[in-house]
Amino acid sequence: MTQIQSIDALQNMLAAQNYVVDRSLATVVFLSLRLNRPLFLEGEAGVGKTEIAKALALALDRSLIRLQCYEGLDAATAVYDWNFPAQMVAIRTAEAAGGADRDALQTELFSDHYLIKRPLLQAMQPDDKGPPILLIDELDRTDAPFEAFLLEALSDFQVTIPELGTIAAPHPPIVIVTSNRTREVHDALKRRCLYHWLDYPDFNREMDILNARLPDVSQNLSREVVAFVQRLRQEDLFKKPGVAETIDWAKCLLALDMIELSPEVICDTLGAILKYQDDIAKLQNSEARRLLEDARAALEPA
Amino acid sequence: MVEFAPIDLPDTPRLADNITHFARALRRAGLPIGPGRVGDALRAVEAAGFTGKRDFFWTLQACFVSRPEHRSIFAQVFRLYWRDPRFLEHMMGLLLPAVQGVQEDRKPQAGEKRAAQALIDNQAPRFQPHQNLKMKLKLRSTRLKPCRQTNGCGIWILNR
Repeated sequence: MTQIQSIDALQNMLAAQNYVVDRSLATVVFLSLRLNRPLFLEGEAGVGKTEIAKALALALDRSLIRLQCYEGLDAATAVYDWNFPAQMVAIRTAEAAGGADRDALQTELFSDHYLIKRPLLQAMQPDDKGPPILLIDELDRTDAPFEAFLLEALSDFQVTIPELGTIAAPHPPIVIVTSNRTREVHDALKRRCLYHWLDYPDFNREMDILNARLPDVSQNLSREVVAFVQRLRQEDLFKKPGVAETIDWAKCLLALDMIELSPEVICDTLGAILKYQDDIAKLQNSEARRLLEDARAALEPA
Repeated sequence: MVEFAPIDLPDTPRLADNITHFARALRRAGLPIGPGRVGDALRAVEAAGFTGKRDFFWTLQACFVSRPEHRSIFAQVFRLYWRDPRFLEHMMGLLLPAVQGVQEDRKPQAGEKRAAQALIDNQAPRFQPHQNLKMKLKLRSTRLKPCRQTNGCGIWILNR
């Protein structure tokens, strides 16, 4: 297993994957790797919480196992399940063949072969590449019972399957938990993790991200795009645009062969940055023009 | 060439003690920090192998902060605790009832007062009404009446 020597080394490795990481996040990721602690990332949607896990998996050359959380997620869908239809078929064929040994059949039915491994169990299996990265995405969307279950699973990295016994991870996986903070995740879980709040990037960092992701966009256009989005985030919007939206929007403008922004272009392509009708309605012609002028004014001194 | 001020390295390093005290200060400022977290922080600081204060800051923040609203308090306590001893004096001033004009006019940032309170709470002597302050209040309560005579410069003279 390769050890990353320093925070700078990690920063460079992630930069090679086109993920621009600032020092604070790099420090926390580095610590989480060193101390084998889960990393708890909170922040607005679209600031790159999920992306860091993907970039890290590529940089370290590990498999990425993703557990997308949703309301009503339970242990059966997160850890393991028995392949019931296959078991039924096995029973029927054993019956048809005749002379099935009861005990042998039972051991066969509850063997590894009929076990469906869900993300948490997958993450605890040995991997040739080294411990995998387990991304538990949007934890705030699950409910408290699952959170409590996760607390247990994350503290000793083992799960118990009654028919098979306890399965423990040979090497603990690298765990990254993300939350959009639609509700407060319990402190007990946070205590097990290293906490980091991801903010919207400032102008320079967002420029770096855009340049790394879309090198084809002209400097002039990307400066205007970033300035406009930065200005837009100061407005009172239902959902502020994240970095993901900035990149999407720049892609749209690139596809449309735009060289610079104009209020008309902004109104036509607004769907790429704002996802709610109310927000889009708020930004019709005159308002878009005003924001664009503000953004350009902010660019002037540079 | 940048010149650094000579650093007096103590004979007995006390980083672990200092981090523990820092955690206590944070706790007084209202951050929920158990003893377990202090241990984590010590391990993290050991593992980080940082060279700059910036990294030290982020390392401790990852261990001690678990809510976004606690970040500003953390930042202020950190600033007070690990930085400028003179700044502490300024914070002492913030806690005493302000006498106009004596203290420089500087609006405390978010969380600053709470941070100062957490650090100084036990050390600062209880405030006792100051003699000068009393006098000033007395002066203020006296009514100023316009006097027919001015002293030439147009200044009101106290008229009893």
